[in-house]
Order: sequence, then structure tokens, then C-alpha cells
Amino acid sequence: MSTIARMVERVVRPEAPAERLGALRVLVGLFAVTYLLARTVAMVSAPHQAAFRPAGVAKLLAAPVPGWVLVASFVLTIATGICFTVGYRFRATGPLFAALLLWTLSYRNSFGMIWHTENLVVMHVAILAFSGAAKAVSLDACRAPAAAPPSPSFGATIQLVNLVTVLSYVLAGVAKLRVSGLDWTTGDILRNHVAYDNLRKLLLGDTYSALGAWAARHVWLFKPFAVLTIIVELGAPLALLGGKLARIWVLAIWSFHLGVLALMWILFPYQLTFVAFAGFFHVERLFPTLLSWARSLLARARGARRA
Amino acid sequence: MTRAAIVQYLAFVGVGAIVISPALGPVQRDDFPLSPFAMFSDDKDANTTITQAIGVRADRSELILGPSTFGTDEVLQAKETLARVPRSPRKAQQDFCRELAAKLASQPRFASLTEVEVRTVTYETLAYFADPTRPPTKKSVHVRCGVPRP
Repeated sequence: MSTIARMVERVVRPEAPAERLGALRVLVGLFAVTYLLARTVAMVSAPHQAAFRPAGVAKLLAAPVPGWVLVASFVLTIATGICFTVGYRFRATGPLFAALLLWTLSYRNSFGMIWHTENLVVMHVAILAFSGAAKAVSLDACRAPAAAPPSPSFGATIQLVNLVTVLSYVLAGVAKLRVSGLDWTTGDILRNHVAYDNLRKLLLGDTYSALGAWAARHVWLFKPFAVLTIIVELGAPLALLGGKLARIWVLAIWSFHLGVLALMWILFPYQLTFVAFAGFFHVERLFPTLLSWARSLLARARGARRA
Repeated sequence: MTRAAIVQYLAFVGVGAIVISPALGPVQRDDFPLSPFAMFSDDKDANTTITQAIGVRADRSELILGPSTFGTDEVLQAKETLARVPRSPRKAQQDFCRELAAKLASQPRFASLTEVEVRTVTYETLAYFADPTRPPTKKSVHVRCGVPRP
């Protein structure tokens, strides 16, 4: 196999343990269910019907659905999401959760505002749902006669998840250059966005970033941020090579999201909790570590009780 | 190459193509979950124009009524709701104002409010942050009504 072929193979289907993919499924599922539960009121309440502008699969609808449909589909989404997370009857519950999550979030995004904080989690769940992500770290795996050995198939799914992540950032970078050209890095576009977003929130009585409001007065602050943003977004595919490059990129893009939160008060929870980037790490190591922490805490608690 | 490997390579190329497909169309045509992610790509107008709902106290001081007043935690949904007011017929504007005022009357935290006003204001965005006390460059009141008190 030539060097290039080996590199392509390393990018598309590196060998990975089933536990890594399983752990990724648990993290993504746990995030999705927690996120939905945290937004229960917004998910099941009926927004202003006149604002209905269907997005995603909701485009199949001619009009908003009755409230009970929202509540029923939300309950089903949570139930299948829990099955997805614990890996219970995954071949059925995985795709069902992916479809329900797509429906629930598409519908919520059909009332005048698309939450770009939700795109990645939907796509990640869809990829994991149609893979062997429950071959380990799952209830299904407990019933299997033998543990699944490491395979390029597990690595291929993880890299597919990572591919969707990096391409989303490449698209964001390309859109900036398509619409504004190099002016995006040399002009005041980023500053204007920060100022506009904060002023809009302020005038609508919402929480805004005091730091962003202060920063908007200092033109020199934004140009280095703008250049770095474009470099990190367009350089995202390098992360697919893994190793140090991936870790550096994840840290850079995570810092970018932290900057967005600090300057614009826009929270990207999937990214800021690192779950969106979990595929770049050996996340299977997280679970034994967590288990050993839990055991040592339990042992300490028992020791304290005896004393 | 095994069959599994061929499927995985095809999936890699296929999924990649699907994800980047929005970039082939108009950049401002957004959708979910596939998107061109163009939300921060264009330059913003030097002015910010917003329709806002204001609660007015007896001493004429003002309180901006936030998204929770409209039953949402989503600022852009509140913006959409308010943006429809100037485009609505006079009767619908008055109904909107009266409903909002009645809602405020039932909440103790708004006990000091005597009037509700829906208006569109325009500010020079960057100038506002240099001097937040500067008045709007444009202001147009669409509807005003009293908060009913027993």
C-alpha cells in the first residue's frame, strides 16, 4: 500500500475499538436527551402560528401540527433517546431516535429562527444511529456472546462523525469569503456583527454581552479574531488526520466558541461541552476513569461512615 | 478491498457531498440540519432597526418588555412576534396591545407599569455603544394602550 493510500485509509477508516464508538454514542445521546429536557417548555409549547416557516422535514407540513402531536412526539423522542444512549435494542431505537430528533428540532426551527447550535447534534445522531455504535458500552452488548474486536468499521463511523463536524466549519468559512471576500478579515464585519447582535438583544430586553458591548468600541480588537476565525474554519479538515493536529484544532475551535459566548452571548452547548468534538479523542478511556472515580468516592464514603 | 471498505469509502464521499451541498446554492438559503452556515458572513447595516414593546411607568420611565413577556425564551421569536405589529391592521395592533397589557396587569412584577407601547426604533449601531444615552435616529410608535388596574 502506497503512503498516500495508507494516509487515506487512516483518514477514512482507521482501526478503532468498539468501546470508542460506544462511548461516543453515550456522550452524544446523553447530550441530546439532556438538551431536549432542558428545553422542554420551548419544545412542547405552540409558538405563534402565523410565524410558521417550515424548515427541514417540517417542510412536508402545510400548517403547524396540533399541540398534542408535539407533546407525543417529544415524549417518544426522549424515550428513544434514552434507549439510544444506553444502547437498548439499538437497531430499532437508534434510527427511530434519529428520525424523531430530526423531526422535533426541524419543527422547533420552523418559527422564524434556525438554531445553528443544533445542526451538528442531529447529523451526529443520524450517523451513529445507522452504525454499529451499540456493539460496546451498551445493554445490547451485555447480551452479546463475545466482545467485538477493534475494527476499521468502528473507526469509519467515528471519522464520518468528525467529517460532518469539520465540513460544517469549512462551510462557515467559505460562506464568509463568498459573501464578503477578504473584507471579512480586513474590514469591520465581525465588529459590526458583535455590535448588531448585542444591540438587538439589548433593545429586545434580552441578556446581552457587556464584554461585547465594550469591545465594539475598540476596532483593533476584531481584526486578529477575524483572521484566526477564517484560518481555523478553513483549516478544519486537517483535524481528520488525528493526533496533535486534531487536538490543536479542537482547542482552537473550542476557544472560538468561547469567544462567541463572551462577545455575543450565543451559547453553543454541544461544542462548549466538547461533545461535538468527542470523536477526535479516545473517549473510551473516559468511562473506566469515571468508574474508578465513582468507586474511590464510594470507598471514601464507606470509610468515613465506619470512622 | 472488502465490500465493507467500499461501503465506508462511499459513505465518506456521499455524506461529505450532502453536507457541503448547501454551499452550491444561494448562500442565504438556510435550512435545517443542512445549512451553508452563512449567519455571520454578510456585513451588517450601520443602523439597527428593531420593533420593541415598552412598559411605561407613571413617572414616564420605561422598561423594555423581554422575550418572556411573549411566552418564549427565544429572543428571535420575540423579535418575529413584534415585527408583525407594524404590518398588521390597526384593529390587530390594538388587540395585540390590549392582550399584552392585560397579561402585564396580572403579574405583580409589572405592578408599576401604567402603559404599554409598541414602537420601532433605529439606532446607529456602533455609535450607540459609544454613547448609550444618545436618542434613536428614528422612532415611530405603532400602538399605545393603558394597563388595566382594578
